[in-house]
Amino acid sequence: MTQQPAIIAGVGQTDFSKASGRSVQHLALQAAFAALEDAGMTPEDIDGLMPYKIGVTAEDLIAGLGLNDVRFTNVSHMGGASPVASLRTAAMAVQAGVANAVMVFVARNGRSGARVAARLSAQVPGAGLREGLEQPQGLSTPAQWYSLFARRHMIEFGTTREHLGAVALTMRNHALLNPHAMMYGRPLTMDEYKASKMIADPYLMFDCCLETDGASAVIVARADRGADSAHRPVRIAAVAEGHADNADDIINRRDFFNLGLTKAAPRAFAEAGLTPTDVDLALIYDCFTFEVIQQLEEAGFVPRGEGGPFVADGNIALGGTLPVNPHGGLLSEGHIAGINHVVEAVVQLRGEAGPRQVKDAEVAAVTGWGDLGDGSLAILTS
Amino acid sequence: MADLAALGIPRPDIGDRDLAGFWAGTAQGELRVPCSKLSGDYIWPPRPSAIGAPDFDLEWTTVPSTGELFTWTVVAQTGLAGYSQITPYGVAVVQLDDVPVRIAAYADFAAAELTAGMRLTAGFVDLGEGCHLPVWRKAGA
Repeated sequence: MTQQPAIIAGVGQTDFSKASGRSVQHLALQAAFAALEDAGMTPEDIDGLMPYKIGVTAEDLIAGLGLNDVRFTNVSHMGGASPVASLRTAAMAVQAGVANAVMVFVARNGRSGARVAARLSAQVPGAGLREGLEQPQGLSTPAQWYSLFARRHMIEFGTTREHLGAVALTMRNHALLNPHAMMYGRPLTMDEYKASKMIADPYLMFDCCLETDGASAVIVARADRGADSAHRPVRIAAVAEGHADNADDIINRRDFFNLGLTKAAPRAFAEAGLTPTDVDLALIYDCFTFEVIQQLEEAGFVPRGEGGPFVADGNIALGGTLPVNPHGGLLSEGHIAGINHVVEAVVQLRGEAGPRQVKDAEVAAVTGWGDLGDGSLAILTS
Repeated sequence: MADLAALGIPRPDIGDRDLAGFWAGTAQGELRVPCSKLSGDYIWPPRPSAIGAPDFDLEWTTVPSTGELFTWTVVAQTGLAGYSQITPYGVAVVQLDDVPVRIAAYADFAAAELTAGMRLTAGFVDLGEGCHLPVWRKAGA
């Protein structure tokens, strides 16, 4: 029996801001209704829900959307790698006939409400090691953990401050083309980047992603259910997840730079029958600047150690060999646990991205990064 | 450098079932790591059994208190009690001599002096009530 491919039938988002003035349930419903309209669907069409681990629940949306028979719910436990990993679970659910249409969504008041430190305590793996060994030593945030990767990469491969800055500036330049971005209309120079305050050396403020109030929703359906959409369907060609060695501890990784993505990427490319050179644009989970460099390397877009010069040479800018995050990314569009990367990939593959459109975009790779480097990769095609 | 004992930094639970052997060692001025008697593997960070084997009879073994700076961060912003008063400060990840173990600890010297490959040696700060926190100091200092 030929399996129906799974597609992304619709996407929806709220505005992104520092202070939404709305409850997270309100934001979630706004994004959900927008995704339904985008898909040409009504609430009766949704019978599966995949919320994020923290925040708005499936029950909130069942009640708010008036869904009369949700028969599939599931939560991924991979931090920021969850929304991308959820695409696979949702695809499996619709392909298995467990559900007809699954909505994956994230809603948060990430700036005005519970900020990153509060969210972390609710989800980070290896909590005993974090509390028992790291916090007494003054180590407690993602910026600090991941800056250990960046510093070691500088030592081993000569990666520089300017390489990190190139990521920050590229994301900002892209956001200047995206009215939805929190940093729209706010250009950034290398001097301003370098002068920003230190957070966790080598990370400066502009190496760090935004904290955002907002919501995004994505509807996954079988290809034959997407017929009513006014948009070109976007196919989920492959999705894979992976977990680093060691999954619960960064400091003692023998291969220090290995990530979940290191394992997930070859699986996803093999399943899609594609290679990194086939990718027209990449949506890289840019929680911090160096994590773009690290993921470009670990996903196989550039050999390990060469990511710094690769980003500095303009390859990741619009018009470059591998445009990354045309919407401005988590660094300059906003941070909704990376599900906004999925939304951007869909908009690009439909050819509806306006002035930031990647020409002839047919294959998009979307990465997710969570917790201590859990990874996921989705390959979406038009 | 900063008087960590006076700052009210987060205190480890020295009675934690999986970490008590480590804190017993630091109270004696030693770094100790659980070791499998069967395979000889060091299990760090500590876990209840050897990795992938039902070998729960691990032995806390003294490892060198010296090593080389592998990577580090300089924390300029933190919400951690006590530490928030002394930013910026360094946290050093040290590759211990002779054993495949890295230990992250507060760098008890000016963060600007952190240099790749520098030699460091563990010191132990008495936080009171039986708790001794390892910190990294410059070798020979």
